[in-house]
Amino acid sequence: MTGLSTLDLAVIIAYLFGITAFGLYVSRRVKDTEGYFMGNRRFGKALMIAQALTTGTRADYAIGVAGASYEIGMAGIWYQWMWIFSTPFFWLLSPIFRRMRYVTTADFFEERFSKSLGFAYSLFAIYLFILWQGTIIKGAATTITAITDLPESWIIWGVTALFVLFGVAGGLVAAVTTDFIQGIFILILSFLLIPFGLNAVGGFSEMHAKLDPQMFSLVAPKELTLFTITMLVISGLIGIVAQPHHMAVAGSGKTEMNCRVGWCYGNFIKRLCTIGWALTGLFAAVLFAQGSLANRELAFGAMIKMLLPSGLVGLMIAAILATVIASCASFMIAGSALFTRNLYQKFIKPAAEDAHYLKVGRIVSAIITVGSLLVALYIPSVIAATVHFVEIVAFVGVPMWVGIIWPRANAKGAWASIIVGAAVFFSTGNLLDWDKGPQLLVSLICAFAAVILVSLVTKPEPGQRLQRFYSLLHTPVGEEENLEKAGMKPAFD
Amino acid sequence: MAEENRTQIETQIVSELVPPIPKSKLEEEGHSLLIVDLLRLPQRLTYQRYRIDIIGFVLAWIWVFLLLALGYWVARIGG
Repeated sequence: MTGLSTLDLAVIIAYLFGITAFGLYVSRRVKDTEGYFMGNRRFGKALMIAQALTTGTRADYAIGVAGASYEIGMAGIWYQWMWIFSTPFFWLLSPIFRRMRYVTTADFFEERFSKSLGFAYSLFAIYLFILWQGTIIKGAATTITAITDLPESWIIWGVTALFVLFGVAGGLVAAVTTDFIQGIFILILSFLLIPFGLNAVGGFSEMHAKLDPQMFSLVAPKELTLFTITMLVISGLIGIVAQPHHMAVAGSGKTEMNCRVGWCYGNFIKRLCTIGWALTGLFAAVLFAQGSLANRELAFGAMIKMLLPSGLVGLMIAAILATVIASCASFMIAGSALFTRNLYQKFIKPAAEDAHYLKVGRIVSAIITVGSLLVALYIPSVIAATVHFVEIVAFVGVPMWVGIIWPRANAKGAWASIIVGAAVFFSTGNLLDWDKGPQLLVSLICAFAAVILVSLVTKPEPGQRLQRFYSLLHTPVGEEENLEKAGMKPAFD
Repeated sequence: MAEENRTQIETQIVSELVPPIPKSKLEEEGHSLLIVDLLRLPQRLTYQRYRIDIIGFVLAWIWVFLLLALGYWVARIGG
């Protein structure tokens, strides 16, 4: 019925049982919201690398890149390599996140600008988490469907149940502690198909002989022109600071160096994996004629089914489930942190016990999951969701960058930036039907102009707010005594 | 900041809009942040202050170019 051998099923069950049991065991150590949401900021370099790798490396990335490369060639790599030029900036950004000592990115908007911006960002971030989780589940389900012929909706439900059990119980500690194991599986996912694919296509020379030379170019004139790639890269760099989970990913290390190494080099490993995904897509282009697959995102699953022997198919499915569980658990926890701390605690029930907020966090995790389940059941494609996310997060990234660099930036400027940037983007796209590249360029210029101009013509933020914010940024981890002597104990540390 | 604490800690001015903030010893020894100080770099940029940022950033870009070269090379194997 499943198209899987007994050995494959045994591998999958053994993995799922093992990783879930381990996650539940670890969850017994989680006692408070700080532990649930930030792991008590005690992760070393290795765990930080694993966390950065697994939280940001998802099965849908592999599926999306392989699918795009199947259709347009090596240029499909840019759907993930759009962040390659941002990665060195992770080295510079992670100590900023760590020094802020915030739990969520919404804390930044509230502390630097205003409560209303913090509230608005929280809602935006919850939308992003739902979108991401849904995309992850969708990608995994598409692939597993291609392998097993099981209905996609069954897989969506099953996968969702798994990561809820894993993540809700243990929080970030449970998710991150198993990241070592998940990280190994991600590497397996990225490279396992390559030797089998090479053998099936007859080697690199044969692959070149059978495919159009354009398939080996890093630019695809119809879908990914150089200008579009450039704008996606710039948007990615601007938006990277505003991705809601990055405050947790980049700021949960024991020391600033742990955060730097973890976030930066965890992502470099991911960029390396992307080459494997693109290569897999090229193999698929040789083995499956264009148009023979119902949609290009089935290419990855079709390759697994065709090429891998029994046992390894189960391993690949386990690897896909590993990335889904790791990523979705982390996003679910981060989403519940945002709601609990920045919405519920601030506006609904300010003075409850920590145990109460922990319970609320877990309930919200489940609600976010229901939303992501609906997204997974109804979104059309993984790549479309990925591009949509890159576009919208950039508008929130603009005020964040400016807010860190320029003390004159204020809440009104931040609001203007987000509203103007989004309005220009959606009107140039929907009303004027512009291409992606010019759309992004013009809307980002307008967003930057708006925050600068509006900030200049309105009052600056109060000195005390700015003093508090910049004191945190100029106080390295380990010098908290300076803050205490100045009467500025970090609110969230 | 309370008057009685101001004598106990050194302070610095990062902007005319921001009241004095605590001065960090570690920042002077290499832990200053390029992005945070971007607008003050013309006055403050020294290798000593920004050592960790500078070294790590440069190394990271080397990795970027190595990865790009690897991707380019992989696409051309057998071509």
